[in-house]
Amino acid sequence: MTLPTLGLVAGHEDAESIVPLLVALRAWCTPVALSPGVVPVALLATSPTAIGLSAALAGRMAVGVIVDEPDQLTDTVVHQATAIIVSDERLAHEIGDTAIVWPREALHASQHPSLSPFVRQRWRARLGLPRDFVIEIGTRAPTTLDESLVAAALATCSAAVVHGPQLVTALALGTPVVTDAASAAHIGATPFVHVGVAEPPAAPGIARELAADPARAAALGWGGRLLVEERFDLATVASELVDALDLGPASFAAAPLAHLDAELAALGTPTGSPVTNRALRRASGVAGPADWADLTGRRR
Amino acid sequence: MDICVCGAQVPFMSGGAEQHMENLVDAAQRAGHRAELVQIPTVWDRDRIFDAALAWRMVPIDADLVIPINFPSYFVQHPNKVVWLAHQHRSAYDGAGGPWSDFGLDDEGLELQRLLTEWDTRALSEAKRIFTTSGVVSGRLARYNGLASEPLYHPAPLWESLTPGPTGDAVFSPLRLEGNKRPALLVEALAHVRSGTRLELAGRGSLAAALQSRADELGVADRLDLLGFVSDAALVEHFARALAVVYAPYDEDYGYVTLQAFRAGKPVITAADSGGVLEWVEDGVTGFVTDGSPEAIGDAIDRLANDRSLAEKMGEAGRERVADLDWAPVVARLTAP
Repeated sequence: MTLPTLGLVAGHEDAESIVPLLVALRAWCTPVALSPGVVPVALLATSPTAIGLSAALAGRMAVGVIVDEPDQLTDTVVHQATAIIVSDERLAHEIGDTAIVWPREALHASQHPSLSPFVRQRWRARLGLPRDFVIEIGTRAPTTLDESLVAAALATCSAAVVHGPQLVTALALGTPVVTDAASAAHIGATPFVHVGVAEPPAAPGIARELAADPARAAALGWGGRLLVEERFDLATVASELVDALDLGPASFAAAPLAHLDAELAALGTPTGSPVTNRALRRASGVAGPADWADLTGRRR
Repeated sequence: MDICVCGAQVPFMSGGAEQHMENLVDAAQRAGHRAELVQIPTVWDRDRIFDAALAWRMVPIDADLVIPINFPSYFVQHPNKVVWLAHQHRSAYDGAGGPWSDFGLDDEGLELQRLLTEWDTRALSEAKRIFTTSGVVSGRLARYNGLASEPLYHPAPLWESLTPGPTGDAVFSPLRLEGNKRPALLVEALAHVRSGTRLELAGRGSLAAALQSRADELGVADRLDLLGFVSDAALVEHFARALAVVYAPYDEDYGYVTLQAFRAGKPVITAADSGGVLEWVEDGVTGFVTDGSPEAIGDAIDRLANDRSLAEKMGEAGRERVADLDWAPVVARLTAP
């Protein structure tokens, strides 16, 4: 089955920055650089200046445009773009219904497995790590943690004090996180639902208390994960864009295997996992091998 | 209201969980609902552990309400899903790494455990309300999945038949003769009983022969009655004429035996790590909570054997403790809008 083609219009300087979104969009469509011979269903431009296709904006097809600065919001863009992708929530609010928020901190949630406190404890036992430990990331605390080990430490620690760019990653991994009030507000986290909140002198102590309370840690870790899925998952951004550009393939969604695949995805099953492959393989006998090959290829 | 009670089914096996589901269906029907039990075959080995969960996910159920009872039936999707959780797949949680679990510390086992935890959390989070059968089950759900729930207690099987009888001379223990029920602990305890009290052990299981051998080694075989399978009528009779009931499984979810003993007016001797049993047995009031050593259990048996009035007083307190248990309020809570 052929997925709809999304024509990509990108300048050299910003082509790389859009790759994460394109990866997420591949679940629904095939992004292809716009060139002679390519017949897209819709267009995605990395900036209003990159597009240069006023004819398209005049209504021949749906167009999504990434806007970095408020002054790029010309009347033409505001009135004729089908979807305007911005990183700033306030700007999105000003734009209205056509705005889609792509936060700078967004990541692929499916590539960051959520680990509950109990599973973390099992991994610590496996790796010979202490039964419990708390880490600090992005704080002023002296640290001996190598940069390359940050993700592994966030995935195995009992709880963490996190500030800065690793905050969303930590939440995606289901880490029970303590951060300061400003950081929590910046990502739209509700104190003690998504993150623990404490200012620097008290934060490590609060994190240790959290580590000693598995029920609270589990609830907070899961709350943080849900926040990431709702606000910072590139799949969510891509899904909103697909809806806006009307790229959803109706026939695909109705296929039996698509139901199964959608359920696996909804339960948080990683792409290409043995569970996914086993389920799709078993179902493919009745749903058709072509369908199965299509799905497994897409999810990988 | 049309209600589908959903539960796992392991072909050719039947136990407390199945009884529990059938009792709920009966209770819902008595309350005026149309109720049916829906089951899907399940296996417990980790390589296929997700199959039945996924099957539940895809099953269309037309009813006003679904009430899943255990893993993996709570994967059913329905706009009015009220979970009454008896247990998750314990081998992946509190039982992980234990003798009856195939979830070890290998890479695949840990990833499957992680994924199962995430699946469970998502599927259970869909429920309008989550009840559990005991505080122990609620505690596990909070600890492992971060989900809040409310224990909803219910009567044990044979509830209407169980009545107090004369205080007898033997202690009684009905249980499956398997490791997690710790029947060997009771045989060991018998060696520390000085009052000559007998132990009547009812039930079948893989440990029967080993228990008999151990009793022979300890020289207590003449005070141990391995009754094997007993009928419901015999079970009621054994409860009624026991001195006390000894029940010390490891981390029990709920523990029907405790409730049945109290209903029959008998005190219960248990262990501090027996889980749901401890929600009912109050040390020195409705029985004894020992440290779980054979010596302490033997000593508790002797105390009741040597003070039968204490056994009767504790038995009465136990009966009072469970006096309010009834199916009607359980059904009312589960079906409340």
